[in-house]
Amino acid sequence: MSEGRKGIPEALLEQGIRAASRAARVVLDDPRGQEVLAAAVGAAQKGKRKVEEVQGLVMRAAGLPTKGDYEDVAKSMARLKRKLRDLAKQVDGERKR
Amino acid sequence: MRFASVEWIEAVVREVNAHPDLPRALSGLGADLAAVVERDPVHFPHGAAAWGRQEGGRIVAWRALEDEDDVLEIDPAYVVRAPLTLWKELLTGKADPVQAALSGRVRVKGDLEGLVRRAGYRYIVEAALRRVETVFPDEVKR
Repeated sequence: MSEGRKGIPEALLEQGIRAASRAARVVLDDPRGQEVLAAAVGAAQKGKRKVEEVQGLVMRAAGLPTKGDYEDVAKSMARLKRKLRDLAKQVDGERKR
Repeated sequence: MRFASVEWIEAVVREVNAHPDLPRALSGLGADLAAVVERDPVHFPHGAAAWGRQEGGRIVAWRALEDEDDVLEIDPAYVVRAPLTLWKELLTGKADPVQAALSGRVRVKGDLEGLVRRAGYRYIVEAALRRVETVFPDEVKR
């Protein structure tokens, strides 16, 4: 979408982002502001972790896989992928001999 | 030096390690970090990823990862993920890392609070980058 053809919601969103950026800049330039921001981020992260914990418990109780289960599978897949890559390199090396 | 190449990472790590304020900046942070440059279909089709571990106030180990999925296996304390254009903006000082992280443009996994608290030390990385000649993929003549 071109600059001149933005709808009201897009223009409002853009203005909001610009205002938030300016506010964040003011906060970040002040060491006390940085401290407050860090504490707020920490609290938000803690809250998110709590929600995830509860969500995990509910999912487990319902016999459904949790986010952690998906992460474990992704980790195993990544390990397998890396091992296959290492093996392919070994085979290539043997072939070249 | 080409951005995200092994030589480039080595040079940046050397410069960062040489900064006297680094031990203070790293104190209390998690042991390791992975940085992922997402694929860009035009300029950076394969993407890139690197991992580094700190100990005793300096980066003691690092490596360029062959595949960004290796990050899942390593499971570092922090993962910072962004597209090439944004990495370029961050590294050239056109974008603010904290603002980018808080707005979700840079995706950070790990203790974001600890990173925000140390945002004042970003001059260490900025100084290192000023000393390392960097050629971004979109600047390479084809």
